[in-house]
Amino acid sequence: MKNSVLEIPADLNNLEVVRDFVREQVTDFALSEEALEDLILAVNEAATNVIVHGYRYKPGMIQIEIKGGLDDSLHVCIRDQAPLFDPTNIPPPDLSLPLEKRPFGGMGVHLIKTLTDEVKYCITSQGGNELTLVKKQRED
Amino acid sequence: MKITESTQDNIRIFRPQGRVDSEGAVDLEITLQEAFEAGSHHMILDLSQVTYINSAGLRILAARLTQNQGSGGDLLVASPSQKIRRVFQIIGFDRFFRLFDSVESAVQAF
Repeated sequence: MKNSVLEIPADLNNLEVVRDFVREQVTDFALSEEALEDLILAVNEAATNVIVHGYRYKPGMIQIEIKGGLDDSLHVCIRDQAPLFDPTNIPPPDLSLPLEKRPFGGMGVHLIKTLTDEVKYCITSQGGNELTLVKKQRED
Repeated sequence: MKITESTQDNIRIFRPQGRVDSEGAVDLEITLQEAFEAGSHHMILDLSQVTYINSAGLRILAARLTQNQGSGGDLLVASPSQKIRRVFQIIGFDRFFRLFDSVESAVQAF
């Protein structure tokens, strides 16, 4: 598949554009509807984190690139210029804790990790964040 | 977000439409908070018209559940889709929220 790139202002009102972009760009990729919904939810969580925690609602840009990996997996790269932060280092939430003791931070990252096959973080050559969500192609 | 409200057996029933996420959950949070402050502590959230929920939406529901239960009430969830049930399970919130297949069965559970 050819690479596709979306670049939009970091704004919660643009999340629908992000979701539509993912849905439209992966049509030639062998994902089940359930796997596609999982991926869209994961990308939505990641983009939300950039807007809310990265840019803290201040103006900024988010770039989303969708590309096929060498092993036929699908890679969604989410790039931003917010302060550097590696969400893959966030420990998984302790699901055994009672609700009143559950820290609410990290739930989105836990969702992202659960809904995808792999999550990778790196610093871009421009010094920004790059989070890559990997979804494997359906085996059938 | 459009939210339809009704009352049955002194239970307030809320049926939001659309997405319970960072974009849509604020309206729901305000509606539930206002109902709570008006004395409604027994609530059912009918998710039959909700297409999507994320961690931000769940955070709001968790806060409402905690406050309701602290006041002797509850917040039951009715008619979630399989997709929404899965999000509850991944976050581990199916331990705290009682999920029902229909509003009627949730009403019976109070």
